[in-house]
Amino acid sequence: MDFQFTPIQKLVQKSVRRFSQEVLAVVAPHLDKEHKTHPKEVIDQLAAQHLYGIQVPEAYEGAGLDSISYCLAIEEISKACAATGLMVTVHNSVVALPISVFGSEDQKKKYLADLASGRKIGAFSITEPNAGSDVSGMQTVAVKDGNEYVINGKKCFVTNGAIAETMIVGATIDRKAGNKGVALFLVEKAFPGVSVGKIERKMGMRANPVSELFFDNVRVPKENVLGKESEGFRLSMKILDMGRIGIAAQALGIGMAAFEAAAKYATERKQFNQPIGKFQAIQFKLAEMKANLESARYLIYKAADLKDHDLPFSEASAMAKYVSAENAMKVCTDAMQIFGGYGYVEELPVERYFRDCKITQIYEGTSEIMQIIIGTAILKEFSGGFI
Amino acid sequence: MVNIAVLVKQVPASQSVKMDKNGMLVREGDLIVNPDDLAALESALRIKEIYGGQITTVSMGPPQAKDALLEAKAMGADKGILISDPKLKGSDTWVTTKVLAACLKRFGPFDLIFAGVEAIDGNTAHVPYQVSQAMKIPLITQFHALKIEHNRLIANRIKGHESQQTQTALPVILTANKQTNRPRYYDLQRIKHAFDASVETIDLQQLGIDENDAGVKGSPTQVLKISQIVRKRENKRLEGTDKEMGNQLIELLTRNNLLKT
Amino acid sequence: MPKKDDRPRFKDICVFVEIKDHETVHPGSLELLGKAREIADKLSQRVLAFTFGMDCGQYLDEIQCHGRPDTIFYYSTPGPDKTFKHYNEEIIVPLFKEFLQQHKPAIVLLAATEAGRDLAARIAAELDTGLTADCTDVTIEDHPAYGKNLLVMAKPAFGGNFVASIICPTRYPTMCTVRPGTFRRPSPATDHKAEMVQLTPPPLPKLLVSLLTDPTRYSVPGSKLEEADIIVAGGNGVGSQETFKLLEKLAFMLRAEVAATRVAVFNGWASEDKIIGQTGHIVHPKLYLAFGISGQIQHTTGMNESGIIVAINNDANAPIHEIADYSIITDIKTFLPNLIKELEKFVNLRFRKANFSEPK
Repeated sequence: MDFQFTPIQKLVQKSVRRFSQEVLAVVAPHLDKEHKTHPKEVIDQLAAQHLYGIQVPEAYEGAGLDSISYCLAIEEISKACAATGLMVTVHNSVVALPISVFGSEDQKKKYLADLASGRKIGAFSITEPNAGSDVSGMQTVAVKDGNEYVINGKKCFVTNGAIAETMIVGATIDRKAGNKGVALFLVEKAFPGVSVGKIERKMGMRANPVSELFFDNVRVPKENVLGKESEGFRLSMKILDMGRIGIAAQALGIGMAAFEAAAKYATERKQFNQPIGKFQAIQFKLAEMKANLESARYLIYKAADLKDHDLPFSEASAMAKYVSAENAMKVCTDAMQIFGGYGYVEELPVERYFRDCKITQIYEGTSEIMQIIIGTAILKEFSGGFI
Repeated sequence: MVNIAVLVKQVPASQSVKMDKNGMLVREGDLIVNPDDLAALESALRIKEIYGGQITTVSMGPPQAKDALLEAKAMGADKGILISDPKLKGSDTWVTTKVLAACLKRFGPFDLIFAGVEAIDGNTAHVPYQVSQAMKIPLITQFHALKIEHNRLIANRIKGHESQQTQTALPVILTANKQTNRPRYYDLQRIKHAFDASVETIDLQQLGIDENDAGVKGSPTQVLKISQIVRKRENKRLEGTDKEMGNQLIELLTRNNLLKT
Repeated sequence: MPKKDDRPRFKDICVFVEIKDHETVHPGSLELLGKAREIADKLSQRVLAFTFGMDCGQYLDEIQCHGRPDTIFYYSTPGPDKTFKHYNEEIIVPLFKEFLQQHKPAIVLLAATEAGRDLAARIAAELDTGLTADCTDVTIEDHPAYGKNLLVMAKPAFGGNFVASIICPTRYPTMCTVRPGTFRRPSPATDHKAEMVQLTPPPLPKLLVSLLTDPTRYSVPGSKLEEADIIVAGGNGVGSQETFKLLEKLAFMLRAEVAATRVAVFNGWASEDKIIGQTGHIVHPKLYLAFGISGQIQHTTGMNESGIIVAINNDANAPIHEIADYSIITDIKTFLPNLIKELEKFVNLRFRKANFSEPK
C-alpha cells in the first residue's frame, strides 16, 4: 500500500491547481453572484487540457488517466469553483465514462470522442418530479416503434441540462417488469422533440445550468440503447457508483477551500490580543475539520483504487460520498463560524462554499440512500449473504 | 521542419522563499517553471504547429530541475536536457550563459532558440542577450508575429518606439514574456506520457567546461548578502465627505510631486 | 584568482547616456550622471559620459550640466543619416566595447531601459566581466578580503521580497544598470564645461537583422504600465462601463496609465492587455490607485511593490486594505465625479480643451 502520489498524479494536481487558481478562482465569485453560466473561453480551456475526457481512452481523444488522477483534478477544480467541478465531474463520470465502459463500438465511435474532447457536453437524466430516490417511480416512457423508440416525458434537475448535447436518459419501456423495465438511452439534444425547460435558480452551484428537459415524441434509434434494454436500472446503479467518487472529490475540494480559508484567517485575525487560532475553541474546530477532510480523502482514494483494480467498489464509493459530503458540509459550517460576521458577507467566498456544498449531501444519491447502500452491504456481509 | 530549443529555468514561486533565523534562504513550497519560459515554450509550440519540427528544452540547475523539463514535455516539448553539476552551485548569469551556449552548440544546430525575458528569482534578464552575444546569433525581442520563409525569420516586433518588420537569416534567438502570449495549460493527455522517457542529464565534464569557469569561482559577480524586505504599509483610512477625502487625495498627490501639469 | 594588479589600471566612472529615439536625454541617464559624480568625487576620479545620437550636438549641453561630467565622448551623424538615431546593438556594442577597452573605466553605469539592459548585458559578455541588473542603490565600501573602494550594488530578488548586495571584485569594469527614478536628478550646473570628444565611426557592419518595411510609430497603451509613475486601476467594484470611463478620464488628467483586474476585462470595460496581476503585468509605479478592487492575490501579486497604494471602494473588509497605505471607503459612483471636479481646479486648463470625449 503506497500512500504517495505517482509522478503523474502529482503533476496532474499541480497543473490543474494552477489553471483553477489562475482562471476559475477569479471568475467563480462573479459567475455565482450573477447566476451566469461558464463563458466559452473557460470551456475551451478545460477542453484543451483534456479535462472533459480524463479517464476516456486516448483512442477516443481522452487522457486515459487513473481514477486518483481524476479525483485530484475534480478536487482542484471544485476548490476554485464548485459549479465548474460539477459540470466536469458529471460530464466525465456519469456520461463519458459510462459510454466508454458500457457502450457498443458504434456508440463509442459516434459519441465518445466529441464528449472527451469537450466538443459536446454531456448530461445524465434520470430524476423526475415524482422519481428522486425512488427511480422506479419514473414516468418517462419509451415505446418501441419499428427500429426506434419514441420517448415522452419530463425530467428535472438535470445537471448541465441547458448546455448538454449528448445525454443518457432513463425511460420505462415495460412498467410491469419493475426495475428490469427501465432502459438507458443515448439521446442527442438535436433530436426533434427534445427541449430545455426552466433553468433552476439555486442556492449554490449557480454557474451550472441545471434544468428541466422535455421529451415530446422523441424518436431514438434502437441502437442508442445503452447496454441491454432490461439493464437500464442495473447500469444506472453502476454509473452512479462511478459518479459518487467524483462527487466525493468535489465535496472534498469545497471543504478544503473552506478549511484553508478558515485556517489562514485564524492565524491572521486578532481578537483579545492574539490570533484567534490560539484559542482552543477555534483550534479544536480546525483540528476536527482537517482530520475529517483527510479521512474523506482516503476513503475516496480507496474507492478509486478498487475501481481501477476492477474490484467491487459500490459500498466503498457510497462511504466515500457519504463521509465526504457530510464532512465537507460541517467543515463549511465551521469555517463560517470561524470567520464570524465576515463569513456571512458576499465579499468573501466563505458563504459561497457553504451554499455550494449543501447539495453534495443530496444529489447523485442522498446521504440517506448512501447509508442504505452501506447498511445493506453490512447485513449481507454479516449474515453470510442471507439478508 | 524547424529545430527549436527553449531555455527553461526552474524557480521557486516567489511567495515561498523565506529567510530563517540565521539569515539563510529557505526555498520551501512549490517549484515552478519560470512563467516567462512558459511563454517562450508557447511561442515555440506555435511555430512547431505551423512548420513542424522538434522542441528541445535546455535547463541548467540542480537535479530536481528535471521536473521543470518534464512539465515542459507535458506542455508539448519533445525532449529535455538538464545540465546539472554540484560545481555549478553559485553560478551567476555569465557562467549560466556560457554553460547554456556550450550545450546549445553541442546539441544543435538549432534554427530557433526561445527564452523567457527574465526569471522571477534572479530578475536580471541577462541570459538571452549574453547568449546572443556569445554565440553571435541575432536576438529578436518583443515580437508578436513570426513567419519563416526560405530559411529566414520574418518578425513583427517592437523596438524602441517603433513597430518593425524584420528579416533575419536563421538561426535566431527570441525572447518572450507575458505580453507575448498566454501559455496553454498542461494537457492531461501529455502529462500521462511526460514520464515515459526521462530527461537527459549532463555534467560539466561531459560538456567540456572547466570547473574554474563554473560556480562561484567562475562568476564575476558575488552575492555579499541577502536581506529580507519588510514592507510596512500605512493602513491609514481617510475620513470625511467625498469632497474632503477627494481633497486629501489631491493633497497626497501634491505632497509627493505627482501632479503633473 | 583576484587580479589585484589590474585594479590601478582601471579608474574613472563611465555613464552611458541614452538619447532616447532622437527625442530626449533619458532622465535615468541624467540621474546616473549625478550618482557617478558622487562616486567619482569620493574616489578622486573622473566621470566619462558616452553617448550617441543623430545630430547629437544638441543634447551635449544638457548632458554636461548634469553631474558635471569631465568628458563627453559621442558618436553623431547629421540628419537625415539615421545610423545613430536609434539604439542598434549591432552598431553600438562594438563601438562601446572599443571605448571601454581603450579608456578602462572601473565602473560603468547604465539606466535600466530597454536599450540600457541590452547594451549592458552584451558589453559584459564581450568584456568577460560582471553585470548587476536593475539596482536600487550603489555604494562604495571596503571589503576585508577584496580590498578598498568596492562598488556594492543592491538589487531586488525573489520578486522584490528580498534585496541582494552584489559585488564584482575581480573583473573590470564593474557594470550595473539602474532603474530610472532610483536616484535624484542632480540640479543643473549651467556653468560647467565638459570636454567634448566626437568619435569617428568605422564603416558600418552589414546588419544581420534588417528591416523589411518602413517601421511605424508604435504606442500600445498596455506596454507603458511597467514604466508608469501613476496607475489608475479599476476592478469589478467600479460597477459599470460608464464609471470606468470616468476612471480613464482621471488617468488622463493625472497623466497616468489605466489598468484593470481580470474581472473588469471580463465585464468588457477594458482590454486584456491592461490586466495587472499574476497572469498580467507586474508594476511598480510611485502611486497605485485601486478603484473597486477587492485585492485577490491574483491581482495584488502584480502591484504590491508600488510606492504608495490607495484603495478606493465601498467595502472596508476587502483584503486590499491590508496592503494599502491609504483607504477611502465610499461609493465610487459619487466619489469619482467629485474627485475629478476638485482635480480640475488644480490641473492646467489645456487638459479640458484636449480631445477627450466626455462619458455620456
